Amino acid sequence: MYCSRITLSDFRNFEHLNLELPNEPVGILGQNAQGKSNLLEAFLVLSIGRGRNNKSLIELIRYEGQRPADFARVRGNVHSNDQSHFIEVVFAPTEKDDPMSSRASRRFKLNGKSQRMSDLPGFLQTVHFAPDDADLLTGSPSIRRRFIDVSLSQMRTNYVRALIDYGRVLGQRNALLRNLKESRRNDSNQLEYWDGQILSLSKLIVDARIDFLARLSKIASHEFSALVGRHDDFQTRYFQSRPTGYENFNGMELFSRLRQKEVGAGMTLVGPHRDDVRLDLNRRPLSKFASRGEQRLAVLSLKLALMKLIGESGNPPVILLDDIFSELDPEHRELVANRILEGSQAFVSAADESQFPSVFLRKSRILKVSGGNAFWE
Amino acid sequence: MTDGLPNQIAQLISELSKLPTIGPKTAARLAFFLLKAPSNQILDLERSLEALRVDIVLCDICFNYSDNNPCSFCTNSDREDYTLCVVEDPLDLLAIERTGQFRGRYHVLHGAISPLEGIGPGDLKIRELVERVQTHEIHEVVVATNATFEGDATALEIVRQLESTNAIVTRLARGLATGGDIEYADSATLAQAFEGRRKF
Repeated sequence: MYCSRITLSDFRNFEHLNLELPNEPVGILGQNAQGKSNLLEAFLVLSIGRGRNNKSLIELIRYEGQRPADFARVRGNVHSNDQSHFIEVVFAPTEKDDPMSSRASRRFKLNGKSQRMSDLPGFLQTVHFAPDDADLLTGSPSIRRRFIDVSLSQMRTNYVRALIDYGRVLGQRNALLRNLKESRRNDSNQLEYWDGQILSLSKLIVDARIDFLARLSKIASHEFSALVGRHDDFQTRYFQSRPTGYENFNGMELFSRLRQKEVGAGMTLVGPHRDDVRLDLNRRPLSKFASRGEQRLAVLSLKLALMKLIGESGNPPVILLDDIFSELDPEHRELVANRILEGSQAFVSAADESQFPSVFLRKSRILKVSGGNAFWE
Repeated sequence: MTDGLPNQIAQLISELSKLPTIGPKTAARLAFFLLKAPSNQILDLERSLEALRVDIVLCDICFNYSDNNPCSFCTNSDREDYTLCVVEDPLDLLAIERTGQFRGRYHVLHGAISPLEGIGPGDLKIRELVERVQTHEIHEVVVATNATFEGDATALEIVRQLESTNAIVTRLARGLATGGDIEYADSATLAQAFEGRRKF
């Protein structure tokens, strides 16, 4: 899988950029704050329709002084085994007149035809490595859920749909519970329908997540052993959220036992929106017992595993490596570089050329990024 | 935004911007368009608005908008009395009427169950539907609510409330769009099309 051309208009700090791209590794060089991460983020937009870390959409639009531009646009030609597509994603401020407004809307076109946003993920599959990846271990559960959701969205077309439907049903169910709490109306027999809907969607989502984690951690375990040079037991465990005392209940029974608690809280207390994942090294949680170095390599092995897992479908994903080499020692830099060179297209950023291992430099082209512009060396 | 404008114009802009899909900018554009429009056009608009307020009523039987009470759908003797089609909104009724497939009577709910918007069963014309089925000879109630979670929740509530009556409750089929390509159908639609398949 690769992207043969990317065109940016008023995206982040790029006013205009039109780049033809080779189907091979690309080293992106530039000083800090020139646009290296933004360029990588543009590929992420083509891939999943949003930027890094769930940042708000308005942040993707270039600012002209105090005001956002009319719109930001990312276009790309993407190719997989036997198919070529032209993808366009546009972000526009919702209230152009209000400079303080923080909201933006987005549109997605496939080969010139408007499509639902939820149909975008999958056309350009990417794996994004970033310096703050260690948050995956030590940060909040929402970061881990997002990693799983973004990965699965690219691999299973109906997963995004299930997530969107889940959010909608969750909103309705929460509103109903809130109404019951404030006893504005007595609609308790209404809950039955939303319970049923939320349960079947939950099952779809949780089954997909557990299956994904099982396949991912199996590969990640090998990756981790290769990185640390010894055999360790590396596992992921999925935790379905349960209030204390309700651990052994599921489905409708769980809901009926929780009824009073949920009405009291005025919201849904269990479900995939509250679940978590724990990563264990030799049966102990990595977030607590591993060193910083081990944590970094553990997250790296997860991403390398994701690369392999997506590639199993016959199309290796496009690799986006945002300033990762600076954190690794020379030996690990070379290990990672070799793995990237096995794949298809890759974009690897660094502030300094000396951070690129020589094996990478020999086989890649260098793109220089400076002040919102980019040119081949 | 309306600072410095005569009060009358500011008032009009504020009224127009209460309409759905009309923002403050469009409202201002409309207001200035009306300001320049010939007076007979303004008068026509005034009359139509007035007629809307004075002449249009909800039909006591089906709750569709009409200039007669009961409305022409309810009084038309060419339509058959034994089948009722339940829709969320008057526009849905018009869409079904355009197909020419349905010759029974209608019942308009005026919305769908949506806790987020504070709409429960009691806010819809469901009680009136039950009364209608109980007091008239109705053989079938066709529930034509939208194929959304809210539409389904509403359909289910109707089924529940009509359980004690003799009417058969049916739901519109879901599945492939006419002229649609199976390859491009989303999986939820395709799954429902499979579920609802029929013998030739």
